[in-house]
Amino acid sequence: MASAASTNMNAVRDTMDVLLEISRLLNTGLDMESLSICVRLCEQGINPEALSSVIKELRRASDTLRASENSTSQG
Amino acid sequence: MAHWTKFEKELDKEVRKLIMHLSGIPDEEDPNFQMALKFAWSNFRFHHFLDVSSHKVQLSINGIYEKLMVHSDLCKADSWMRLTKEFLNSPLPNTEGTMTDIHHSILALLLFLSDSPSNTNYSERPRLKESEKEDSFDWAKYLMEGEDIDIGPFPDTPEWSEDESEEEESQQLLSREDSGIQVDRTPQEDQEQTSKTVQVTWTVGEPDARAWLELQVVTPYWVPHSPRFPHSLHLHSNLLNVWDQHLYNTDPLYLPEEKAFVTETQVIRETLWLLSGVKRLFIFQHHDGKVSVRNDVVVTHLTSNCLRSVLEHVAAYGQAVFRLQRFIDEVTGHSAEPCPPGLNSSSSSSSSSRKSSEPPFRTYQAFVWALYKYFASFKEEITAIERDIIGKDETVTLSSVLERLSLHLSQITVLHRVFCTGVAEVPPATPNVVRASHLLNTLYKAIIEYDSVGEASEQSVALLFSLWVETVRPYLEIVDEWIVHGHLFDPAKEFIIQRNKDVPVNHRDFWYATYTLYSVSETIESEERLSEAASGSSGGEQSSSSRQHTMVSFLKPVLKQIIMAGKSMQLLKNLDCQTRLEWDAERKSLYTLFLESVQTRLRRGEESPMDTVSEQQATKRSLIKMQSIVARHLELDDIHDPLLAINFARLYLEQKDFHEKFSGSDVIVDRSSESVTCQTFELTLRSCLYPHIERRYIECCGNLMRTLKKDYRLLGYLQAMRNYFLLEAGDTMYDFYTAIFDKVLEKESWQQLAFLNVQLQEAVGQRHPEDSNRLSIFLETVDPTRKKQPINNLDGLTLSYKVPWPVDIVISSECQKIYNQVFLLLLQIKWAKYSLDTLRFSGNFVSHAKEYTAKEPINQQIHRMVLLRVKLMHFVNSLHNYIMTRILHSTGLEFQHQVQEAKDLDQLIKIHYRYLSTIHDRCLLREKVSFVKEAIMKVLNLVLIFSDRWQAGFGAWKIESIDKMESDFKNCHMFLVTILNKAVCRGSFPHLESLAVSLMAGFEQC
Repeated sequence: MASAASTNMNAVRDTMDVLLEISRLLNTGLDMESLSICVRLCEQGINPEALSSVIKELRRASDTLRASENSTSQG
Repeated sequence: MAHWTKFEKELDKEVRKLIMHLSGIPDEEDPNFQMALKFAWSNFRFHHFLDVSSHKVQLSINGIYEKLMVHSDLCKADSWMRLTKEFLNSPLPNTEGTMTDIHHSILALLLFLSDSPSNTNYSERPRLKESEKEDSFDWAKYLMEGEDIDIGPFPDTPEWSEDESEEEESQQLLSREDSGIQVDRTPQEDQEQTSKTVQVTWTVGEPDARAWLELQVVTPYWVPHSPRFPHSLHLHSNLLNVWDQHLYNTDPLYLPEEKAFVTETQVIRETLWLLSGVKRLFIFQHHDGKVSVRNDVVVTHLTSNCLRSVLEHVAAYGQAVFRLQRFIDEVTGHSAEPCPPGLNSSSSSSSSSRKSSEPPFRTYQAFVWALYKYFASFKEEITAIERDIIGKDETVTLSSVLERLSLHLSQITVLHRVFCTGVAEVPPATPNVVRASHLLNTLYKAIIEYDSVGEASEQSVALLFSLWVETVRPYLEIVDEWIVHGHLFDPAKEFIIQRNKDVPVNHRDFWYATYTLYSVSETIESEERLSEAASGSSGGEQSSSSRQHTMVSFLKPVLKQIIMAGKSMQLLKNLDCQTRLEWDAERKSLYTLFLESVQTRLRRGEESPMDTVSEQQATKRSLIKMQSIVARHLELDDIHDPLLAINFARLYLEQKDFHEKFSGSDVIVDRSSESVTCQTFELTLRSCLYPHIERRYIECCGNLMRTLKKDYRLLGYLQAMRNYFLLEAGDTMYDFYTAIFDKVLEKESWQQLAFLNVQLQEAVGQRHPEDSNRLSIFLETVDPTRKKQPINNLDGLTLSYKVPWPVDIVISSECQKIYNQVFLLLLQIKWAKYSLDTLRFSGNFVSHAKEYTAKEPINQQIHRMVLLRVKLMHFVNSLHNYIMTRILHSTGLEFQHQVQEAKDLDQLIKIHYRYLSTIHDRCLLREKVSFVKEAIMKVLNLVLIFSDRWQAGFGAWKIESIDKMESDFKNCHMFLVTILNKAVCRGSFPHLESLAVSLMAGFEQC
């Protein structure tokens, strides 16, 4: 049983590796951790289009936040 | 949110994680975080997006594939199709099956997020299959490490075999490194050490370890097609590319070559390795002892020609280093070449066997030791530079390294030049003595050469001087051993003087034939020739005059002293070993003394600038004085150059004794030219080395002279020679020769050895009993044709005096021959004189006279006979006086005086020989003046005939014979008077004056 689980684990790990390659190829900018979070969210039924818009928005927002932080800290 | 299900809670957790990860806000209470969370949830919950359609996703995948194909990104397209297919057929963590909607939605997500995939650089990374590794890992062993495991009652079961445990261990170590976990291994340190070393050698061969090394240490630039190292894209770092591009653009036929790229640090490092004697390098290549630069090596920031020209310089130095190093290895017997063990052992055994058969060649060894010391300092410098490179505290460039080493490099050039001329160019079959003296000469000449350049080459002179001082050590030690212990220890036959083994010390020929001097200088040669001629022995010292001229120049000025001192010492040792050994214990060796003197001299040189200010005045004054003197000397050669004069004057100021020598009345201009060329180095030697040798020489030779004179009665023997051979012991010898003359007078045979010896013994035994057993007389058989004259009767009479060793070195048998020649002449004169003196007007004679008084012609005959007798007596007495007083006595006095002052044995021998040749000459025995001797002999002969006639009695006289005798005598007399007067007038023989005057007086009276 344990060995079956571990084989599954390895298979999943391989899948994630493949997925990471695809992500890199498509230049999505996701790293392993965010990718695995996304996979889990998708598995839980989150709409990928919504998720992508959230990710994009979050990225943009955090970029502006960082930029403002930088400017305030410099100012 | 209390109504949230477990599912929703998990979802929330994931969303928070996502936000935290994407936004980077760690605090969940942060308002920004909360806003983001709200935004996310509202999007997820209240979105109006369509569900994912697998068909659409597939279409997108194909579209992207097509797009990539259009962009000719074949690799990417291939990867893309393969990866998506693989993904769709792979399981997901919480979803059953493959190719599900979830798969497609994940892909859709990525497609939504994708950002122009065709514009990015992408290469597929090989994915590691970790599953196998994980499986093979022995967790139990890993966790139980360090524990003492009970292996059960059967420890030698097959599972616990040695191989397996080793294999496991190595595997374990490797995997542990991969896992990144550090374990405390202290309890097993010993075992760990061994396994570690095993691991190192083992892992280097592994591709992984190699990759690690390449990444961490250095890229293997020495292998062909090695990967390029990363470097800046700045123009400065890409000069080579720019230049290549330029060449490519301007020359249509230009073909870029395959090149090995290296960094400057690698070049520097190889340069340093080359200079420290490493042979197997990439940039520099060795071919049969020659170092060349590899053609295809380039650095990015220099053109290849530029790099090459710099490196070729370095290669030349490297070659010099390599040759010197090889010479050092050859002499020391090491083989620096790392060769297979079999080869190594055979070569080492051959060298050791050669070593054991041949005694060590100490001059080369000393030279090598000096070189080795230099190289030690050189390598220290190189190591310091290498350490700087490793430290990376400062920028190290190739040019800065070369600048830093420039002094050393120029010194290596000097060393190499000296090595080439002094060692490498000597043909292999040359004997050691020539090698050694050639090396020393080369060094000596090099020092003088560089010294004459002045301050520009101070460093070279210093280096060469230290080298020379080291190299000369064996020579000085040989000299020291010889002149102190009288033992010429030179097993490798490297010294310029060598002992001839077949001549024992207590042999008469010892002084001449014991030593062979190689490559004789002109002055010494001529002197030695002289002594050889005197001795007539098979002198070995001149055997090499035809040899190559390789006289060790620095010893030339004192060579004679060394030879004298050495031979004297050896002789002394053989004479009496006990008396003169006390001072030996606290004595310093010649080399030590030399070094001390050099040190004090150099120190004095250092100090002198300090007190120049105070001495300036005095110096200036003496400079002006000196200048005037030098100018005067230069004018002798028609040179009027005040600048030259001033410089000469400056030069001579160093030499303290110059003033006395040059302002003296008798000036030797030649000497100045000699000193100019050898300047300070020559002076150093003169003041540091020569005095010690000189002192030793005086000591040794003085000792020898004292011993010979005191213990061996040298003066006594010389006196004895004069006594018997030169008839100074008049009364003794009178007894001897009158006995013979009486016998002749009585017409009896006297030529019996027994009779002669008895007479001699009787005569000598009375007054000099100590000499009676040394003296003996021989009769040599003489050519009968020469005996026709009565005066030649005495020919063949030879006196012999047995001179004991070591005095026979001075009074050799050759000397006795000359003594005998003089002895014979003296006997002849004495005989003539005796026969005239003993003529009596016997009763018979008087009665006859009375009887024939009336007869006029008889009276006239008697009168003429008496007159002739008186004339002959005058002649013989003049000659006798001349020889006995004017020549033998005064020359003898001179000789005695010189003997007292003789410094060494050679000088004594020379004085003795000169004395002999003087008396030989002055007794007119020389071939050149044989006609004078002939005339004298004729007169002496006439005397004998005359006395014979006289003895025969009155009646036997015939008027014709008297006429003949008178005319013969007159002719000879006149001839002699003319010849002698001419000689006296020419002034060439002042000593002949008295003889000429007295003969003239006799002649005028006739």
